[in-house]
Amino acid sequence: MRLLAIARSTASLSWREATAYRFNFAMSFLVIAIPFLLQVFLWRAVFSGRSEVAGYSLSQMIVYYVLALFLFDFVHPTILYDVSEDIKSGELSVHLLRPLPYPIWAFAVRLGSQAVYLAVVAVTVGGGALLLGWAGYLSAGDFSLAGLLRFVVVFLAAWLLGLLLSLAASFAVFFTEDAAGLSKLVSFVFPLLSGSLIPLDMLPGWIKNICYYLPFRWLVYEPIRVYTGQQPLAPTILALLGWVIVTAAIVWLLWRVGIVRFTAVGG
Amino acid sequence: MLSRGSTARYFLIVTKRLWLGWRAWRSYRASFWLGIIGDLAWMLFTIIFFSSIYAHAGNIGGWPWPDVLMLIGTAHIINGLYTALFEANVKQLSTGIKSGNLDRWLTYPVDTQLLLTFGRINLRGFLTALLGVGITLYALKLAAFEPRLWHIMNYVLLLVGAVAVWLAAAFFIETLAFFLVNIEILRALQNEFYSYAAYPSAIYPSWVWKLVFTVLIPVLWMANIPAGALRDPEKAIWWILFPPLLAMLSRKAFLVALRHYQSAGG
Repeated sequence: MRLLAIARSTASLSWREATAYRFNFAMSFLVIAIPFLLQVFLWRAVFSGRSEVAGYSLSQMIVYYVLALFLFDFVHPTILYDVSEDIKSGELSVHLLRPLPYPIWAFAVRLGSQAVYLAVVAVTVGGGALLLGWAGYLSAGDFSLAGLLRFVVVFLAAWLLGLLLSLAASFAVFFTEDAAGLSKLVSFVFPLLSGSLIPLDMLPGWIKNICYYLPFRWLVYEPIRVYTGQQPLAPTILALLGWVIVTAAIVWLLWRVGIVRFTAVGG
Repeated sequence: MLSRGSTARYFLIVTKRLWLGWRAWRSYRASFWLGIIGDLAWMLFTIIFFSSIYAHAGNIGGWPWPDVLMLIGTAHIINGLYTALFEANVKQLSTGIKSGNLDRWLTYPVDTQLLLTFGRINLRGFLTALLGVGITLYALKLAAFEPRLWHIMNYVLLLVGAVAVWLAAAFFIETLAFFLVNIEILRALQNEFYSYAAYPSAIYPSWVWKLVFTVLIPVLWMANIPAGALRDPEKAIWWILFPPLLAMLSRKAFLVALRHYQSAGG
């Protein structure tokens, strides 16, 4: 219980830190909105003169991207720079003296800062969906309450898995001197293999086969299919929880082996 | 400032800094190879993304596949050159303001902007650029298009222009660190925009959007404008006036910001 209270306070402090830079906070709307606008432009051009591409209509494709956009920033594995800097600079030694285990501390910090972003993304995506409806790209029929409820449940499980994958990627810094390369690798691999760049069923067969064995499709593609009713909720949650257990074990292993190798010099 | 120093002295400083940058790179080999894999993955996945669309739709806004492949190649050349020569250097401005290191750089007997432009190199960027050249050549072969010398000269000129646009825009963003302290989000925004460089200009619904994404947010500069020089050099070459203009504005902004700078370091 005490650990939970400390983790909650850490998350709360991260929320306050994330909203401290108001300019950054305001600009984060643009980071989401403009790339999405470019995606809409692209698919509008692709659908020009066609009513269907790979079984999708233009409005279905836009709904797909609205949901992918919502999911992406929360579930995509990334190097947590606080963690990598702590390891590289030796600052981690200070954390080791604290009562809260470092992996839980890092998890809580990420959760707190992402909670702020969740509000930003929800407002931007919601506003964007309304604008797209106003422009005639979407209609009320494209959204359903039951679908949204299923989506919320699957989103929370995917978020948890995404956070753990980020933690695992960050602990890899124990074994490489610099995180930039690994970060770039993950950031390029993930969009395609998760289905956030393009629906997985549009990809060539050999890539679809690779995706089948990786956790990434459960973070974006399958949650969207849960929303549309093409994929049942229960097996998706079970698959996500299975990956959560596997990833948590990897995080623990990386931490245990990494902390043995860790050295901090100076005062 | 810049115009006062002798060219030979500045050339020596730039060469020396590039040599030191090469030596610094050797300390981060694991990251280098991971980065190479990342770059290859990015290139491969961009190709897969567009080829998947073409497999189902045939064309994008009337653009055939080889033309989009040419955009992908060109985008990688520009990205590679910028990453290789400038990315790590320009970033130093905002970190220097935050840490107070800028105070020290200002005392050096050399132009500060020049110091923050050259020095660190990233060999990975050269490889990305080389792969981009390969893709562009393959796209030209696929399109059965043999450019004349005039086309190639314009293309190279606009490629250099595109790298200059990226550099000037990056400097402009870094200069904002004098006022905003934290500019991470703007840097992320710029990188995010440029990842859409290979999207053909035909997707933009009107000329107003094209102008916005050429001048205000120069995404079209990062592939479409240089690649346009291979097809229609007479039309594209006029854009070469834009990079020096943007560089001048960026330089002016840096000097004005510097005049109002009050040390933040301790």
